[in-house]
Amino acid sequence: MTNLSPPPERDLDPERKLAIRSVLGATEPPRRPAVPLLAAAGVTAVVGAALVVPRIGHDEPPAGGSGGGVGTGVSSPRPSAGRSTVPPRPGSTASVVPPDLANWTPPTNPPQAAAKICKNLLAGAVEGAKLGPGAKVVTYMDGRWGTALILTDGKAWAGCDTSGYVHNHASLRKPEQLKVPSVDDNDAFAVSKYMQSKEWTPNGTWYDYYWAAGLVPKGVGRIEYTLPDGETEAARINGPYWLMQHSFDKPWKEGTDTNLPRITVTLRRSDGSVIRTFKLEWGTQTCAAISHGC
Amino acid sequence: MTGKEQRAPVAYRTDRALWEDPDRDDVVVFGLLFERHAKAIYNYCFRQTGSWASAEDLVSVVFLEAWRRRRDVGLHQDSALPWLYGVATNVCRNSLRSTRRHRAALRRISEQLAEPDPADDVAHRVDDERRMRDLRAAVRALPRHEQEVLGLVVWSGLDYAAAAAALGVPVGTVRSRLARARARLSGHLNLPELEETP
Repeated sequence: MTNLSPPPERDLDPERKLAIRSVLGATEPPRRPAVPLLAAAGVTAVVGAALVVPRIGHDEPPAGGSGGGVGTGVSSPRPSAGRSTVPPRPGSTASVVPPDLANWTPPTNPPQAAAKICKNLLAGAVEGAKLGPGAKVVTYMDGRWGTALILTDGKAWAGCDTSGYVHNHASLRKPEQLKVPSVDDNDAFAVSKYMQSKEWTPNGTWYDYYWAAGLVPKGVGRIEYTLPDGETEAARINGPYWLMQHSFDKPWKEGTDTNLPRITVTLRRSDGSVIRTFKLEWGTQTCAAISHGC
Repeated sequence: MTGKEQRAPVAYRTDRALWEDPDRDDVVVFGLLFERHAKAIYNYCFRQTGSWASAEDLVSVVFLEAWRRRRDVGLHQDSALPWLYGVATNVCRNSLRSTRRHRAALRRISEQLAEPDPADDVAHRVDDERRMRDLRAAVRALPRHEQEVLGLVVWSGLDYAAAAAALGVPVGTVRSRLARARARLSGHLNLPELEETP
């Protein structure tokens, strides 16, 4: 007599899951953008893959609040003090690619799995600059939840955070041309916001999570983010690139992410003196990722 | 305050709550449904076809097809799984036609996949497929609709109500089809005992 039990179940290969998700919805735009403010930021299209679990209804914490300044061992000076130390620059004018960017030697042993996930995500991106298939990891950092990295093909770059990658999740920043931003370009310091969880299940414990990536403006030696939980996180600068990851220590609960203060960014010279301090706008400068809502 | 109603993150919400959200972002919601149910549908497609490779294509087609039909569908249960099983049943039944409709998307998926499976995994997959082929041969004598009930209730573990929702038939029909299938297979197959559901 034959036993009717089928073979044990298998899960889809993570790479295939990513590939399938990258085509889901890629053929047409979604009915509504997850974050209305994304459109204002010029992020009108959505990458086919919704690769992380964003939070509908939590995408617009209120503007206002006192901002940072209560960081861990780092005080945030008043914006006016910072601004007075540098002559004004043309806000939207990016400088040409300097030699240190063109000649930067990428890491010899980049995280392959994370890079692969990011490249898959890039392949499905319908917005932003296009990176060639030979794009390489030029810097990366391993944080509490996983790896953030920057890919570039020498003409364009893209930041990517694979902190949820054991659960097959990742976050892709809108790819940009490889140009060093001005210190006055606040958009260059936009963060991406989503959530992390060990379990990645509805009943798991979730934490607010922020990450950012970019190119270091001329004269900047240190980049600090004072986040809504009051903590100050220094970006990891590696040559001409920088990365920042920050996770709240306290788990997300209903109501913990309302009335949040705006994120403060402080740019310092190598000697620690402040170049300028500014606050990010909720929505337009906290939804840098194009692969998910925020 | 933002003026928006305070809601739980999507990860905490049922499929139906996500589906009925007037502000839903279809791409986000579908991404989440895929995460929640891809494995179940993948294995269902395997059991319907006896081939992991076919199941890989068909699970893609199921979600592409579900995406295509998303605006015409209302979820009547908290989980989207019965509906997805229903889509999967149709997709597997007409696998050739379904895959043809989505061949461009399937090509885009395959272009992103470069590396073959390690050899030991291939061996396990072949074993699975041989076993599944034997099982499928054993139930092939059943009418198709009885095979489908068997696949949903016995192999995929759906209760009668969910199987009825998946197939778009009354619960009583699921019961009777399953009873007939059991009677026909009696003496040939060792059917596991099923818990009766109201």
